[in-house]
Amino acid sequence: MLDILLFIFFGIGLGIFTGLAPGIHVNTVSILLASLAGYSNPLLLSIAIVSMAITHAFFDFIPSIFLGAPDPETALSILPGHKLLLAGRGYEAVYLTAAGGLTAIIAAVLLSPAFILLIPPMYAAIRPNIAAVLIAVASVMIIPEKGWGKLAASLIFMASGLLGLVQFRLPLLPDESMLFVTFTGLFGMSTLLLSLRSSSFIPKQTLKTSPLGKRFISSATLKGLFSGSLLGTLPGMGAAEAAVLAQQLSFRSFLSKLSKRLSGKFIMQRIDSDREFLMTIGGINVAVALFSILSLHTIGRARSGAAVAVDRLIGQVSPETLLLLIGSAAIAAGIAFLLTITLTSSVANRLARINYKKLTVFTIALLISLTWLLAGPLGFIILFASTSIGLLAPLFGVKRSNCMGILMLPLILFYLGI
Amino acid sequence: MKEATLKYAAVFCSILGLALVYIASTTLSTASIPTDRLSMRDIGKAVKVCGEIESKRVSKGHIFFTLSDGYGNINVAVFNSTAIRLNNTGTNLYSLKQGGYACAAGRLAEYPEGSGTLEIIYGG
Repeated sequence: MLDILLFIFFGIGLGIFTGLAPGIHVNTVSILLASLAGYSNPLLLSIAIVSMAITHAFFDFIPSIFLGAPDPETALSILPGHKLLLAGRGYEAVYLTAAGGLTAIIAAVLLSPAFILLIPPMYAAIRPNIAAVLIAVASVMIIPEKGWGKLAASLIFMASGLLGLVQFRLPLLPDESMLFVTFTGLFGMSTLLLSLRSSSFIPKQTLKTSPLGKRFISSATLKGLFSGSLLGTLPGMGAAEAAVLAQQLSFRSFLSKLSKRLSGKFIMQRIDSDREFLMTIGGINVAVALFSILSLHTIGRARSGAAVAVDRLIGQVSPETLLLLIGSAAIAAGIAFLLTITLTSSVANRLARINYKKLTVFTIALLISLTWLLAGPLGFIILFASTSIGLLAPLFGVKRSNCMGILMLPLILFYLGI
Repeated sequence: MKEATLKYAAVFCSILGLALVYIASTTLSTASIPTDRLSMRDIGKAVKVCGEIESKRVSKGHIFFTLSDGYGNINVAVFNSTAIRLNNTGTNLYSLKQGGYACAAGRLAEYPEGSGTLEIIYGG
């Protein structure tokens, strides 16, 4: 029992590192740990990997929310976390993602017997129709854009999809480096460059959080669990696609609220929509990490880098091993939640004292160095292309999630047999 | 729900996890795999086999024995470092007797390499 706890804490330590350090992906460290099978007990290493993946899912939001914040003029088309950061509520943004992760894992652990029964038939029913599911998700992503926005969103989706096709069909770089460079360009670098241009500032951050209503929690948890269980189980899809699906679910609810056309309540509804989305996406990240392990037991398939590593170490997961891994995930999640909000409150307190422009320049330099280190000169070309596409979304005033075409278009074509 | 409530929920989550880990660890210690279910595909994975000790020899402090569980046989190797470590904690593997019952938990390997013969590296 003591050795199990030791490896859980080891995994939590690694998860904090992979979550906070840009460019160090949890999948890379998982595979590295799997290669240590000859030196340590494979089951204990699997426990460390699961604890790391869960902790990573909590800490991952800290750099993404606190790094890169454009001014309010460009705020409408960037991630909701940055919007809350600009409103002085960066702590609450991270707190919401952590709350989503915590409620999702408690619900997933308590409902895991039901999921173990439901996943195999659900998988069998959806697997032949994955292309249709992806096309439906892409459509609900593009259709809500207004007027010319639809055309711009379609073009951005196709451009990022073409970039994805070039990379997946001509494997120029190892998968992990390629995804790091591409996503850095599409979502990170483009946001940072815009924030440089518009001389962003970070307002004083408050550590106060609004209480979460029962309806709010259940809605976000259900969306997180639904998207996480669905896409954490299907081949080729993961947290990124689940987030796109959840964003559409949130967007639709936002539209219905908007239809009331109560202008006085408009801003509050937007913020509520962003808060719910942040909690949902936090739940998805953790749910996908857990469901990819559940999939090892229910359908015998690995659906994440961490699950591949566990599969390599212990193969088919027996019910006893699954119980051990779920328990380890729950321990890690509880501790990760407390550590995440503690660290975030400390970061938020110091943030207003930092020259944000210098921090942005430093982050850009760091991302360029990491691109060079991981992908060499070719990485720069990919970084340039992906940053250019990433800049188009805020410039045209459409959602940046349309850039997810990078993964979705190649997958749609693959499942259509093209 | 307030932030303080969620902190309690986090503590509950970890305690729930601890309970599950405790239950699983006690169950796992009794779960063994029949030898006929082991194959070359399981090489490198953690396995546990229980059965009768068919033959045993000690060489340079390393212990080698064969376990028979009614489904088949499997070789087990206990390297001297592991045997000495266990001996220091009160488990004397050198005292194992032929015909006795034992469980071997460790990593599955192929030895000699390329022979197709499976072996459990005890404690590996």
